[in-house]
Amino acid sequence: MGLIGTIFGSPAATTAAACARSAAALGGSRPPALFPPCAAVAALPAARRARRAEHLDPHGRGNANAVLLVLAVLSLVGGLALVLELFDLPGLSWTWTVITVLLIAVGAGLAFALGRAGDPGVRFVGRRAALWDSGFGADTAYRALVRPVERLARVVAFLDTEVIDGYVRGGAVAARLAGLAGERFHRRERVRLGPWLVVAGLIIVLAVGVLGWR
Amino acid sequence: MALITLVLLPLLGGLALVAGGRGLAAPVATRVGAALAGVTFLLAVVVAVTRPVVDRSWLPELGVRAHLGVDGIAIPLILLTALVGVLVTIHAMGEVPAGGSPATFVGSLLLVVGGALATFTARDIVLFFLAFELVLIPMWVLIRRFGDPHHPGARAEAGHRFVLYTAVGSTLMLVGILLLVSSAGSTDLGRLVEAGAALPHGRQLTIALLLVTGLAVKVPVFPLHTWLPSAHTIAPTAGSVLLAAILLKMGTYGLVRLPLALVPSGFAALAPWLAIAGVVGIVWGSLVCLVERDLKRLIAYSSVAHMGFVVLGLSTGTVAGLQAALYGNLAHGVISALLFVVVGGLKRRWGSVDLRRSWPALREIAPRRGFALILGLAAALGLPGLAGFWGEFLAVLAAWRPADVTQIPVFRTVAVIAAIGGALAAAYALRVARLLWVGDAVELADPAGVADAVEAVDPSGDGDGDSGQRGTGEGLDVEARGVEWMALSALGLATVLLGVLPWLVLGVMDPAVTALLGGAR
Repeated sequence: MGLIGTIFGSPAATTAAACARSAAALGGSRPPALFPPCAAVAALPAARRARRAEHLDPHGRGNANAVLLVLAVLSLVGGLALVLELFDLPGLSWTWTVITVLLIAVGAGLAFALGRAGDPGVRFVGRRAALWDSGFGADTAYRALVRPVERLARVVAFLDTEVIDGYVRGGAVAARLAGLAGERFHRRERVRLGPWLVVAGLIIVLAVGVLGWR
Repeated sequence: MALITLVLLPLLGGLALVAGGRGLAAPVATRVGAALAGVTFLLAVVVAVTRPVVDRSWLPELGVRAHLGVDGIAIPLILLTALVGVLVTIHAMGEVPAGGSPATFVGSLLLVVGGALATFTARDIVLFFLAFELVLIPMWVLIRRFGDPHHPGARAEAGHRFVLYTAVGSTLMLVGILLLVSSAGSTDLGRLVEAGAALPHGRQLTIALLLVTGLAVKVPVFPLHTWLPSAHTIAPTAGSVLLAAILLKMGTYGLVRLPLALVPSGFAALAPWLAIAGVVGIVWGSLVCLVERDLKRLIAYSSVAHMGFVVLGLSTGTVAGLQAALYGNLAHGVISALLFVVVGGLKRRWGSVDLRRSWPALREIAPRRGFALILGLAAALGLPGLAGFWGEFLAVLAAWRPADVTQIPVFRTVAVIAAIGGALAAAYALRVARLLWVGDAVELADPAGVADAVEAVDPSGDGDGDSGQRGTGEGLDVEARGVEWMALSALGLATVLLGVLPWLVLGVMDPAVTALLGGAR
């Protein structure tokens, strides 16, 4: 399908993920009572329960539905682009279409079965609710990855200003010292030295001219 | 005729303003400058369409000719230069920094633009070098005289550093050019392509080493980059924009025109090392950006990272790599110009943009400037659909399949590291977005020293043509208005266009790039 196919296909996958998440978090077709008193959730302290509810759906149900609506429209646009051949796509692969439809059917059936037997979120997640709430440790992984990178970045910034730029500053200091040395040499020189320097230069030029003559 | 006028108009106009415009009031000087830049832009469009050639005798004793011409590689850069010229002169209508007469400022801007146009159109290597050097002097004036007014010491240091660095680079380049001309017996870039490729490998390697090192200072390639952050931090907004959008481009353009095209076997021998330096630059620059405190320095280091991608593309020696490099070059010019206009305006009003402090949320107090910042950051991190994406993506792709198959292990390793470095770009771009765009709830009535700093900064004495922002809003009104908003809109539009329609530019470059590599290999 290539790049364009991926671009148009990704809303479908995102929609599926968002649907699964809100089904788990909001409890299927139940009214806005977010977490019905089932064993796993009821066992949590009240404060944590409230935090969890706030964390999973800070703005209530409507927000989740709006997100789903946007994603569904995007999926439809993707599907239409494919069917109406708006782009130069290589056409539908029947294998993938069948697999996709089967996946949707199985997913919908599972959701329906779980929804009839109680809160699907609790049934699906069960005792591993804490793990799901913490996003499978994504924050921990983030910290484990980011801290060393930040430390490395500090080392690099230090090397940049102190070592690499140090050579540059060293070069500038050397140039300034050479200038000062030249100035002092000129101030100290005796006037009578000048003609002798000219004569010496003349001799050198003559010698180079004679020896280099071909 | 259009070509000669294109080069001479900004040069002579700039010279006239610098030399004789001392008595001009700011509104007059900036309007004259903007008019000259506008005409130059129109001429650039004419030149891009008609592609004229000028070839006249100039210094017959040395065999140097005044040979000007354009091809697909130069045209995008010429248009970029002319467009940036218009934007910086228009921007000067709203803000002329203290430090000299307004005419000197505008004249220096025009001289930089004219020198860059001469560099991009020169078809003679001596002419190229002269134009290349010409740009340094007005740029030095912009940094040294018109730089950040409340850090005189830092201004002097940045000026010295700029001159010393670039003079060393230019000297190396000059030695390389003289060696090439004396070995190959011509100064014409067209004739040198064959004559240079026929030189023995050892001689080619020496010439390529000199040229690459000299030009690497200008690009800049790691580890020759430390002049850039200090120059960017100190330079006025227009100077930063010119540095990022034009001067750095001259370095990469020189790398393509001189070592890559003229001494191909020497350049190919250096290519793996250049690729490694480029990738170290990507990772190095991005890492520094993660902890850098000054926003202007941060953008300068991100330039080092982006130019690393350009150098990586160049070093692959393939058509795809060269196209990626030239496209990345162009995109970086537009994106960094956009970011420097955003940040330069902030710095002028706030005094500094120290990322350790908390700043008010730009999305609330200045939504237009905030949007431009987010657009620039998104483009800088290489988001698909914006200008920055294609250059970086194609450079990594090209590095996966370099021209020299014996170097595949090196280039593939380098490609993987470059991709990781690209991910770091997202990290630092989001860091800046978090600190400035999302911002903090700083009470507007509690400037925490901002107002004092602004009092000290605001140098806009009488010469300031900007009337809308003085007096009432003080430094806390950072919304982009008037000419500043015009410049931001134009650059933002260019960022989106380059991202959505890359084939517009790639199509123009393709024949020239293929001819360049085909003629050399």
